[in-house]
Amino acid sequence: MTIEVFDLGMRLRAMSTKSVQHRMVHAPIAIQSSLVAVGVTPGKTPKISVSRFEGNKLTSSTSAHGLDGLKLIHSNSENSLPSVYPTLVVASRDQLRLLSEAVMSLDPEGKYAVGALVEWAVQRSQHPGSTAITIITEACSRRWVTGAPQAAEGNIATWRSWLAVGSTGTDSLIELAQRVSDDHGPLEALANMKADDGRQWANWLRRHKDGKSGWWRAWDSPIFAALGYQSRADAAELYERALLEDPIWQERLTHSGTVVRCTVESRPNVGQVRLVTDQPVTRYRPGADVTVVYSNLLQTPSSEDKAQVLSLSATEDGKMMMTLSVPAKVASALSSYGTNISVLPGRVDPGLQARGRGNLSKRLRSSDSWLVTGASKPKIQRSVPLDVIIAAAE
Amino acid sequence: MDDLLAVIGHALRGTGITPERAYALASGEEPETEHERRVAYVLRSGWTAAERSESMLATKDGDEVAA
Repeated sequence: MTIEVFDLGMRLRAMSTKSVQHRMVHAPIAIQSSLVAVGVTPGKTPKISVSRFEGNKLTSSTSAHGLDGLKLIHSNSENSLPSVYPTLVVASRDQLRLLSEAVMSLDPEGKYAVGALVEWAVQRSQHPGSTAITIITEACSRRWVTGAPQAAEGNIATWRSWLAVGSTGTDSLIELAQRVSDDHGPLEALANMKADDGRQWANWLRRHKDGKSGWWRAWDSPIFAALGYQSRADAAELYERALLEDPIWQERLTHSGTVVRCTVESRPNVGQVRLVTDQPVTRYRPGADVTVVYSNLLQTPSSEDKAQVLSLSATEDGKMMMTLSVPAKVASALSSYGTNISVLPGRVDPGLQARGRGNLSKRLRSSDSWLVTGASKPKIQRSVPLDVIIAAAE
Repeated sequence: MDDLLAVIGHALRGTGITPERAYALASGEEPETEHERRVAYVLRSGWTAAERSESMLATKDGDEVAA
């Protein structure tokens, strides 16, 4: 509710100024240098429109019905995939679904590599921050707020109008993808997503080379599905943390307690610092790993370090106190009373995530894995602390 | 009025604040009650964050031009 009211404040300003407002200063997505924008008009034989941006040049929209339309997306007659994947650009998730359905119905045996390319984009669309696909309405809604009703932002026409896009059809998707990704550069952490896309594309190419025609249609094995689920969850966690690099997005999340702006109150013990804040809410519980971002008056840019929440309490005048365990160098840097600190969620390490997936893969493939043996997973009962139940309910 | 209602949607449900009042509070009018003060604080945060992002981007543009 509080974040909704914050967003409403931005939306009312957009309405008042009749111009989009930046929800983020940085771009929330990154794209490849090669873009393929696709639009699908459903029908008995779907009409597919395609615009391309390659080598800094836009090839304007062409369209065709049926299989000819699909070939506009990827026309390689040798049935191979490009060594570097393009960013597929679509207006909405609904358009992506229509495209996937069109591939299914027009090439049911999976003879053409375009199916592998579209399936790759569908899978990567479930990895937030992926450079393999840009869903324009989602990317724009993350970047800007219009003065139109929120529901209207799911419609590409709203963005064309509010961003005064001159082009039409799929050409406008290219223009929007460039604007949403290029304006002042993407978040630095998106480089991790791009690196992961590159690794996954290399795997995809290997599977395509070794696989039979239409291999991408086969159901995932339980192990593959479990690893895919973990990969999606890791990407979501990484992306959510990446967004916090943006100062305006950070400010937005002070209203949900994900970011807590504090000042130093005291240093109760060695390696500890007690903070005080006016904010009424925090997401953190004792034991939570956090990042502290701080700067002294003469220090730019600000520094950041790991910390752990030790305790939380309320003062008589309604303020919140948070005691953190911090490294000694941080404790001495925070020695001055009143230093401003932001408490953010702990950084997500993509290397650690990858190692976690590697370990999961080994566990799932071991002979006693319940997925391999087919035995039902044993029930585990244990007591759960009350504050965990409360946190889950919130 | 219809536009304002549509824009505000459900964001203020249960707050007892009318769309016109929300607009007035967001654009800087002084709140009259404690309840209004709380809602106005968050609304203004959103409004001023939008202003700040504009000036951040303008500064960045300025830096780039100067460079």
